[in-house]
Amino acid sequence: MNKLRLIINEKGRYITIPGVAPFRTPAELDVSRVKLSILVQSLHSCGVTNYEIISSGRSGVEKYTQDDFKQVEKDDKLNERLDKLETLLSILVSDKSVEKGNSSEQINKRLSRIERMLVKGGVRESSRKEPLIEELDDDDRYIPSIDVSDMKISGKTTEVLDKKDDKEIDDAVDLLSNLRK
Amino acid sequence: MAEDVAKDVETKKSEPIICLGLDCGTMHLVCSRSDSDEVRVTRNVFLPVDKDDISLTKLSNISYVESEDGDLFIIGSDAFEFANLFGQKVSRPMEKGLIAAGEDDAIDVLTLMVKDLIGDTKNKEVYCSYSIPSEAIDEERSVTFHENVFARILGSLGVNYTSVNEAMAVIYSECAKENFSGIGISFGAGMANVAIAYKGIEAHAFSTARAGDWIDMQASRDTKIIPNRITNLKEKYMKLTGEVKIKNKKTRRDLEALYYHHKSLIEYTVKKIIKEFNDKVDIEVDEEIPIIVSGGTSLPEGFVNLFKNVMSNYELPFEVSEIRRAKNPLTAVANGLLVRTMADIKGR
Repeated sequence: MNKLRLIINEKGRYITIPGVAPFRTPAELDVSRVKLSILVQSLHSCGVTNYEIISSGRSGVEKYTQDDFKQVEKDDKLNERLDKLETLLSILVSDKSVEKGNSSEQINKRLSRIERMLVKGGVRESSRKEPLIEELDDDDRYIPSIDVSDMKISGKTTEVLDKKDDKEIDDAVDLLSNLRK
Repeated sequence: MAEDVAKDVETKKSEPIICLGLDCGTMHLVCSRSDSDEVRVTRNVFLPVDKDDISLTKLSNISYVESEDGDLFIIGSDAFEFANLFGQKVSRPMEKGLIAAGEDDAIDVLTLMVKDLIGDTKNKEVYCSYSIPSEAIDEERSVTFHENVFARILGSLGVNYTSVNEAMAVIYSECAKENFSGIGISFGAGMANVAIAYKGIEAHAFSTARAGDWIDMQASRDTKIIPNRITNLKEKYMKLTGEVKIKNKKTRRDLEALYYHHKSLIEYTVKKIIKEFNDKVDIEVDEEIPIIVSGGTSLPEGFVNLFKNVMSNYELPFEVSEIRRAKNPLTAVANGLLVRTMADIKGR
């Protein structure tokens, strides 16, 4: 799986992305666990236009900017519109609460109902095929995992500071454990 | 006899359980292990460098962290030396005793440093007490994030962990003969931590955000020298006994500034101890108790005497048996944490 790092250099923005703890920019963070379309949408809704997404993996390192995702955004908008239309039609087709007929009262009822639906957007949550917000385990919701598998440490980083007196430590342990019983 | 010792060492090596004491200090990370008599340290600083600015041959003798993304961080003492050399400021995973805000790479670098410091734990059940400061009485910063991040770092390394107050660790390592009664003070880089303990029970603990870094910052302002260099100067030449053998006039002035701020720090801490004891300690301490001075900031020669002199100017709300320095001010917390871990395991 490719690793994704998001870099936003623009200062002073407060960003919320589902699955990542809210943060302020400038920032650089691992977003490998976030679905790309959600990431792009979230950045768009937060008004961030200047960002970079670095993908690294076996195939190498690739850099993407907002321009690379414009098609994704367009597709998402189109999908959203199609969703709404589909829902609207299914409601109209299945709705039996309003009797069909030719009387002006019935036609007015149907028209006002359609108008209300159009004004509100008329989208029912149940009609969505997948949730907009990715469901995560409670532990993972706000806490990014620590992953240092792509990092390595070289050289002699530690040194011996002192040699401890094991007997003294053991005596203190005996005393303390007795005291805490 | 020699056979017994060898057997003992062999037994210790094959123990499936390892206890650790991990002192998570602003300036140093120190680790004490039950299966080794060595107490190891790493300097808790790093320096991000541009890979293009440094050749790999230059890195052959220094400690560094490298990521697949091409990020390069010189770590530990080497970071400090490189920064001093180039007049740069080191990045610190921690500041004022807590995980630093705004250091994006801090937690990753810290994780690798901790992993390297605690050493091999393969196929062992590892238990660790790690130090956390008390909430500061003079600064609005919670220790919750710090406590949880270290828990997460240790958890990611497969270690069972418990957080323990830093100043209580001083009591555990230094006050066994007083039945763990006393006042433990850890003058670190970021904070001064104080615990008032009676028979192993924490009566009250607090911290102040004034410690070694505060001294460096004040002296840096007075002398217009960057804090790194002040720290370097302090560690190399600082004596609080009054005698200065440095001929260079500028350096003498710098050390003079450092002296005044050491004294000011001690006065501030003593006043806070008295106030906190009067306001917050409910238990009746009817016997003389020792004061243990520990931490890297207490290292300069003459620090404890200066502490005694300052203390003698105040009327204390408790009787003091003695004021003494920890046997090793840099390892007292790690060893105390190890004592606590081993006592917990023994008491299971």
